[in-house]
Amino acid sequence: MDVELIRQLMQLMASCQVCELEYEASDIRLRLRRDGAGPSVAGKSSLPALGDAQFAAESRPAEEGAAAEPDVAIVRSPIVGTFYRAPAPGTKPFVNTGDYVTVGKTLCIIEAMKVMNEIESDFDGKVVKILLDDSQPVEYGQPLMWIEPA
Amino acid sequence: MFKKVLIANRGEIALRIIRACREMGIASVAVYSNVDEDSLHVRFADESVCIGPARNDKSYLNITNIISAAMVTGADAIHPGYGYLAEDPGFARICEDHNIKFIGPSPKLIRSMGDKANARATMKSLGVPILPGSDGEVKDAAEALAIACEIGFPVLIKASGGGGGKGMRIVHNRDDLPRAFEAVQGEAGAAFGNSAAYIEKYIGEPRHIEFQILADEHGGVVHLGERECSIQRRHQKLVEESPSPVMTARRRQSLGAIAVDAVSKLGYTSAGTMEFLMDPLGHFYFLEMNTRIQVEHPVSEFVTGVDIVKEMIRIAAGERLSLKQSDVTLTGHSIECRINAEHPRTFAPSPGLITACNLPGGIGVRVDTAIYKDYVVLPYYDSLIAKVVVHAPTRLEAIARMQRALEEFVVEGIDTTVPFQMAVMRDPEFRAGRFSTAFVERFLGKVQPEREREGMRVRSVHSA
Repeated sequence: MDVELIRQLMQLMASCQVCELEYEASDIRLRLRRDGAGPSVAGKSSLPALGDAQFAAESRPAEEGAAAEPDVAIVRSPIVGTFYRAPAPGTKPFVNTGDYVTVGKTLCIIEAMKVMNEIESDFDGKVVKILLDDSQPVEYGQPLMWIEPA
Repeated sequence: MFKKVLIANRGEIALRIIRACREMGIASVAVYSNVDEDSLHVRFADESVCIGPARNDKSYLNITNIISAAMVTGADAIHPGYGYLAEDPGFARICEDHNIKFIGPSPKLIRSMGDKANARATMKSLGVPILPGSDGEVKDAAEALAIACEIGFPVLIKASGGGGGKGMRIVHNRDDLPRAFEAVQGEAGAAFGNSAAYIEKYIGEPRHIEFQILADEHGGVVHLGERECSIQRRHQKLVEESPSPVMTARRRQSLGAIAVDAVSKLGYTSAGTMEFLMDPLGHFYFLEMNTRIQVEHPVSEFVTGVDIVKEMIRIAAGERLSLKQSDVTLTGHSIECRINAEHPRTFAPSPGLITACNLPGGIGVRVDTAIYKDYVVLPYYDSLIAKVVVHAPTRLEAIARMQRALEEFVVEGIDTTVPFQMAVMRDPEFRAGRFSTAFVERFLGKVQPEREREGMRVRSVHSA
């Protein structure tokens, strides 16, 4: 756990007046939130310190629109499972960044208990960002993709 | 031993289980609905997975999402807590099918004890005293009437799929019986998906006394003594204690032995509670068996020194019980008050933002809770917000300790039942140990617009 990294991020947030910051690298994903009175981590300052475990990779849905592109629709997972970009291993992904999609187009699969659930788009528009890697676990409500509505 | 346990629950019991896991070096996974994101059980667990929106059926009862959460996090066991899926045999079976150890008894025993008419018949065959009544399910109103006339009125018609006081009607005379019987069947079908009903002799003013059981997978079985749970409102327990003020050592030994023997013959494993009714003459009758950990387990933990949740985890991991019956002794007296987010006189639910919160402490005081200052008590879930439990050398000292602890329990922004329980602690009949399940109704009738003890409540709480 790179404490120096966290310190730098917190200073960055304070100096830029950023309230919420998500940082992701290959081995870590952090979400830091300031509640006004100085930087604090992911929650209410009245709680006692919870220990290192809370800093480890957490899969929490990001706030709607927080530090995000303007005017994107966020596609969120309706279930808990594993995210797959393509219908089967080795085949072409359903969508790539930059693709145009229409309502009903299958965007990805979330596998849960061996059932492959196709996640369909609720929007017409352009896929602006795909937020997860293939075979990453997802939880309910977790953002999957950003679609810029047409 | 398990590497990782997923807790399929929320609130104080989820926190309780996470604490045991932490002490045992087992990683914990919390699951939560999206409105529970700021819950303590989510924050204290090592990992957390959002499993659905606020509604119970889409989150805490969502078997697919819960199993999926166990699979994506690599949990090797699930503790179901109480309520929710704790006594769902289908859920226990699905865990088994996915090689996830369900921390509780087998699906077969959950199902068999969950069918209350069947449980009654089973216990009878194992030599456990039961109330006069039907042999299992009663097919129709005619049969119901015949049985009722034989055992004598008043009788209780109960839903087989119910339990905990749900789906019951008292019938005082033959004329009312056929309609009441059909009503129970109808309500039970709608509420539990099972319209089977059975009949028992009704006991006026019984005491509700239950025995805590622990059984491992190697034939080891012990009981941890009894709990007295007669202080109930509409079948919801509000105050529990151990030992019971009316239990003698001899009665405890004989009833405990009966319970252990039955559990052993059933091949039951994990924690469980055998509930009895005691009639005014001191006779005990089996009521039902709960195949899960119970809300009031802390009073048994206090008087015996046994950590019931850890024992459940060890049992599920295949270990032998760490104690024999001769190791179990009851020391002192313990009382628990269930603090609900409800008005102390009307019991109207009171969800909302907690603006001040001071929890009691000191010698012999334990508080199991998931609330904190600025927490929002949500309307979607159970109103239990805290359990205040005390332990002291004698019952009167335990009552004094509870009074002191309740005075220190300050929660503002919502109503709580604290003033009600404080009044119970002052009540002469309660203090004398003279009460039955009729106590609360009588007590509420007595306590008219009494001025609330506003003076006892602290107006503001300063940070320590």
